[in-house]
Amino acid sequence: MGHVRARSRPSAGALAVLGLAVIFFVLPLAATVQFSLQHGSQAITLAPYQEIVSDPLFWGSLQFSVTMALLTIVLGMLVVVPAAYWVRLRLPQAHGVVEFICLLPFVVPGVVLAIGLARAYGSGNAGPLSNFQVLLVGAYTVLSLPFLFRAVDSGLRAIDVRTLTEAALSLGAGWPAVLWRVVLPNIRAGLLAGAFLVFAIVLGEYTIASLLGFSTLGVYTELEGAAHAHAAAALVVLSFALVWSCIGLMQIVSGGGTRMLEGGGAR
Amino acid sequence: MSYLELSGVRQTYGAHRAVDDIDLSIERSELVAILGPSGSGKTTLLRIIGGFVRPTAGTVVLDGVDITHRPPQRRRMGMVFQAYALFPNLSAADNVAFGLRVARRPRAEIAARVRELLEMVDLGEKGDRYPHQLSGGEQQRVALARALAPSPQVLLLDEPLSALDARIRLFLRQEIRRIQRQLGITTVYVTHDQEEALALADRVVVMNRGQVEQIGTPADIYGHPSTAFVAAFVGAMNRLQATVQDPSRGLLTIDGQTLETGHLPPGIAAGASVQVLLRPERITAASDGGANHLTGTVDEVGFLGATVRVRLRLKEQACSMDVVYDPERELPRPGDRLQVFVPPSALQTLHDEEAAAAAAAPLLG
Repeated sequence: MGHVRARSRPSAGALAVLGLAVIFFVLPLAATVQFSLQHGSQAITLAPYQEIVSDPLFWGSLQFSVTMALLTIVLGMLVVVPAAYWVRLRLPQAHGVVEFICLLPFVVPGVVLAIGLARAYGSGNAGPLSNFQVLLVGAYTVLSLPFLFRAVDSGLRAIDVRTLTEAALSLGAGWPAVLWRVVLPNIRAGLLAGAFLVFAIVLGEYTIASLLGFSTLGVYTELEGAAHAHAAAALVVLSFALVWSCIGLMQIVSGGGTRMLEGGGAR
Repeated sequence: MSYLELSGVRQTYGAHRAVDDIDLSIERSELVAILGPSGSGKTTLLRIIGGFVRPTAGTVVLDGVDITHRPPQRRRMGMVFQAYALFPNLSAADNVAFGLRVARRPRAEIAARVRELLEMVDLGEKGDRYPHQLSGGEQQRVALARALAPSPQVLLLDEPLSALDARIRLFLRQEIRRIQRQLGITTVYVTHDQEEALALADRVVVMNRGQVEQIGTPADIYGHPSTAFVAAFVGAMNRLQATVQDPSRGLLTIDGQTLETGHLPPGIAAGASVQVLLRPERITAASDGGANHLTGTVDEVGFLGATVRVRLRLKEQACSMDVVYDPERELPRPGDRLQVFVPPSALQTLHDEEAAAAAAAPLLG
């Protein structure tokens, strides 16, 4: 009675795999950091970082990319959350079709998507979509569909959507209250995971932005890399730190989205 | 007119009739249990009452108002689900407060009502716990308090105790009955557990294949089942093949032994074959010879706790009887010859078509 299982020690095999994974992920990063700080055998210098942060083009592209990422997250959520929720609640038979549609961006290369969008909407006759900034957000939303849908859908799968919805309805809640007070808070972990992914994807995206003629962080990195290799490495390190800081910030702002995962949803 | 009236309610899915032309009247403050096996349509009927399923035909009238097409959020019916369905992101107190908050009740009123209800379900100390920190029984009590918080007109319970273990189930069953009586709330309780239905309800509705088989008090349903299905589904029952000997005196023979019954179908002829239903607890041990006795050999003795079920082989057929367990008295042993008494009122006979239906249902004997 009351037996507590001792914490098991990781096996040698598990440690070896972990070691390999650490080397696989950390080594290139460490090499990039080292390359950004040192020219050959010269002394360590922060000059490449100074070069980046003193360049107004860097700040301009960063601001633009962050804005695009936030707009993409908002638009993506507005499209994906109600769709995924409704499919789970009322149209489970359509789940496969919706999932297939959301996976399509994986099979359409970015170049094709960008040129197709520019040709379809760039003529100036497509209302707000003829504005390339709007078009870029739309393209990014399409690009992030597979990640957003998967993240939101797995969040919805972890809770009993139908019963929770019916419980809320029987208590007098209207549909907006059901979504806002019941569904969204209970899939917060999924929403956050989706938002992180979209944020990281948009911040690093190059092809579409470049073809549509925008100077995003991805485009800036590419141009910088062609001219100044050490500064480009510094930029990669900076954007890596930036993405993780933003993810951490979102986690703090949202009050720790993993609590519900630990507690488990209603079954 | 009754408080809650269902008239001609039907729900079809393609060619399948999940609920088939049901009429049901429920009085104010009454607790009605809908009892039936899986697929009998009982949950669909409850969901129609709650507004989660719009019936293919028929009407639902509450307190004189037709609510057939009213969405669930405007029906003022509290619902308790088998899977508890507490909101995982809210504490027990916030779960109870949910319905009051969406109704924009004043903050002080909400706090007072939540306290009152949590105390009523004996969870006054656990309001700040989250659902995953509560046991199954506690979660279901919170769910009950939550459903009652906005003072609904009707309380709907969909197999609320099925996911709980036996001891908690019994305790919570009494709690539900106590609270229902205390509040006088009209309640519809769906269950597949006949013991639960008989113990809780003022009236029981037995359903089978989308139709109502019988509506009556628990004593009616158990003591006077009106169809073969009800007889088979509610409680343990022996089913025996008999031949009518003398219809005018209500005599029939079972494996060559003559018995008198008070329930022969009218107009039946001597020599006709009938099925006889007999509850195991209506058979009693008899030491002397005389009328309405059956004699047989003990086949099997099964200990059930408070009672012992003795299987008696007559000749071709066998029937079971329940004996109250008494450690002071010796139990019959397999191979013993035993004579038992069967009261005439305990023998119920079935028409041919009813007998055919009963053959499909699980029976004893």
